[in-house]
Amino acid sequence: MTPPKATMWTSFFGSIRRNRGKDDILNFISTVPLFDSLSKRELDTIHSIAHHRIYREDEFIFRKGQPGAAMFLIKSGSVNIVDQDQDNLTNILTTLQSNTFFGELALLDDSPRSASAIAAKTTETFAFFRTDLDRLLNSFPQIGLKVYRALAMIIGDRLKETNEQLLNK
Amino acid sequence: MSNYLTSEENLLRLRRARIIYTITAGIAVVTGVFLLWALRGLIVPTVIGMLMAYICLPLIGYLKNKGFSQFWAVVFLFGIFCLVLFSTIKLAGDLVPDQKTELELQARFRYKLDAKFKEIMGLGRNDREGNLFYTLFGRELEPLRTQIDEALRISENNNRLFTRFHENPEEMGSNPVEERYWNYHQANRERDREQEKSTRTPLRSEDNADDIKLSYSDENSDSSLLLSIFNAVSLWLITPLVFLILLVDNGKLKRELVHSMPNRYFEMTLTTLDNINEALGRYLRGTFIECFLVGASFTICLFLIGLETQWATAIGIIAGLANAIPFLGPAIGLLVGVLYAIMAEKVSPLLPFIDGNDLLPAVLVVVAIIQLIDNAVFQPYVLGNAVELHPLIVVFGVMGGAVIFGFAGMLLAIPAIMIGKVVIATIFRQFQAYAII
Repeated sequence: MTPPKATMWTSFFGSIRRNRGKDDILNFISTVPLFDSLSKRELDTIHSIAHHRIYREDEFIFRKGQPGAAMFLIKSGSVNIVDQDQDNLTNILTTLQSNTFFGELALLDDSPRSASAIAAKTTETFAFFRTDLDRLLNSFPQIGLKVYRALAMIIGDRLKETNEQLLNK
Repeated sequence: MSNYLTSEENLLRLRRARIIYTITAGIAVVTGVFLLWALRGLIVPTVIGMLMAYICLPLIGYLKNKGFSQFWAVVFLFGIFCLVLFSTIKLAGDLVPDQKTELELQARFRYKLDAKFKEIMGLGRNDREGNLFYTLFGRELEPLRTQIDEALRISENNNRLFTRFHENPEEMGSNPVEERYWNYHQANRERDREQEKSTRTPLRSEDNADDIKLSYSDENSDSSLLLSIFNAVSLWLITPLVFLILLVDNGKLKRELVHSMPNRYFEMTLTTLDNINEALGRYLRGTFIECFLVGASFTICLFLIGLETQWATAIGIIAGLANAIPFLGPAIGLLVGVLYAIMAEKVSPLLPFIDGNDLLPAVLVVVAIIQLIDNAVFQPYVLGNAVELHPLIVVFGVMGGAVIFGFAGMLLAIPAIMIGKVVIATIFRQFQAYAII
C-alpha cells in the first residue's frame, strides 16, 4: 500500500520525524562527485542550503517543461528520468540509483526541464537550488568555484560520452 | 500501521485527520488574528525592524566575502544599527522642546508668520490695501492664515506661565526668556487686543483642554506624558530585537517554510520566494538609498544656506523619510523647510550670495534643486524601473496608512502595497509556469 498523500500538514509534522543526524548527511554529500573536493567545513556550509525531501513511488519530482530551479541528489531509492509525449505516454530514458544526481542543468539557468523525473520507489533526496548556490558564490567564492568547476567537468564528461555514442552509431 | 487497516478504516482515518487538521488550522487562524489585534502596537516597530534587516541582509554576504564570520558580521551590523538608532533618538530628544522653549517657539513662529504674510502680501502699516498678489490670492489665503494664527495663539493660562518664565526664571528653574521672544509675545498680544476690539473675538478660555494639558503645575499630566513616552520607547525596543533575530536567522525561517510545503509545490515555492526576494530587495534597497541621498542632500544644502546643524539634520531626516511617499513626500520636505525658514533669524549662511535675513527663497531653491537631482539622477540610477503604482492607489494607500497607524503608517503604506503587488504578481506568474493554474 502506498503511503498517504503528502499535504502541507503531513509535511510539517513529518519534518520533525525526518530530522536526521547531520554527520550522516555530510558523509552522504561528500560522496557525490559535485561536492567531493570540498573540505568538511565547506561541506557544512553546503549542508545549510540543502533541502531534504522524500518522494513516494510514482510521485513526480519535476515535470518536463517546468522551469528548472534545483538539482537533486538521491540518498536512497531510485528515480526514472522519463520523456512524456503529447498523448502522455512515458518513455523511460534512464533509471538513476542512490548516490547519483539529476537536474544539474538547473544550476546554470531556469530553462525548462528537458525530461520529467519520477520516483521509481520511495526515494529520499537532497535538493540544491540555483539561487542558494548563487548567494553562496557571493559569500564564499572558493566553495562556489569548486562546485561550478566540478559541474563543468561533469557536463564535459557527459558531452564526451554523447559524442562517442553518436560516433559509434 | 495503516498497512493493517482495511480500505474503509483508512478512509475513516483520513477523514479524522482532515477534521483535526481543519480544527488546528482554524484555532491557529483565530489565535493569529487575536494576537495581531492585541499586539497591534508592536506591528510598526516590528515591521521597521524587519525592513531594516531585509535591507542589511546582503551586507552579511558582503562581510562574509571579506573574511568576517557570520557571528562577527552580525555583531558589526547590529552595532551600526544600534548606533544609528540611538543617535536618531538622541537627536530627536535634543529637538523636543521643554515648556519654556515651546512657548518661545510658539510666540516666535506666530510673530514671524504674521510678519512674513504681511510682507509677501504688501500689508504694511502704510499700505493696508495689499499688493497684486494679495488682490489675487488674499481672500483664499486669509482664512488659512487665520486658522494657523489661532492655533498658535498662547492662551491666558500659558501667558501667565510665560510671564513667570520671563520675570522669575530662578523660581521656574530655567534660563530667562530671550528678550526678543518676549517682545514677539508682547507684539502678538497687542495684535490680539486690536483684533478683539475690532471683531470682539474673546481670548482663549481658561478651561481649554490643551492648556490644562500644558499647565506647568499639573504633575499628573507630566507623569502621564512620561508614562506614554516610556510606553512608546519600550514598544520600540522590539525593533533592534527583530533586526538581530532576522540577521542571526541565516535563512532558517525560509527553509522551515519550504520544508512544510508538499512535494508538488516545493520547487515552485522556493522559486517564488526567491523571485519575491529579488524584486522586493531591489525596490526596498533602492528606496532606502534614494531616501538617504535625498535626506543627506537636504542636510548639506540647508547647512550651506545657514541653518544650524541640528535643525538641518532634523529637516534632512524628515525630508528623507517622507521621500518614501511618492508625490506627497517632496511636499512634506518643502513644508518643513518653509516652516523653519519663516521662523529662522540671524542665520549666517556659508554661501555669500544668500541673504541671512530672508531664508524663504533659498529654501525654495534648495527644495527645487534636490527634487530635480532626485528625479534626474537618484531615481533613474538607484531605483531604475522598480515597480510603479498608480497615483490614485498611492493617495488612498497613504491616507489609509495614516488613518490606521499615523505617520509611520503613512511612511510604510507604499512599501506595504508594493510588497503585496510583487507577492501576488510573482505567485500568479509561478503558478502559471508550473502549470498549477
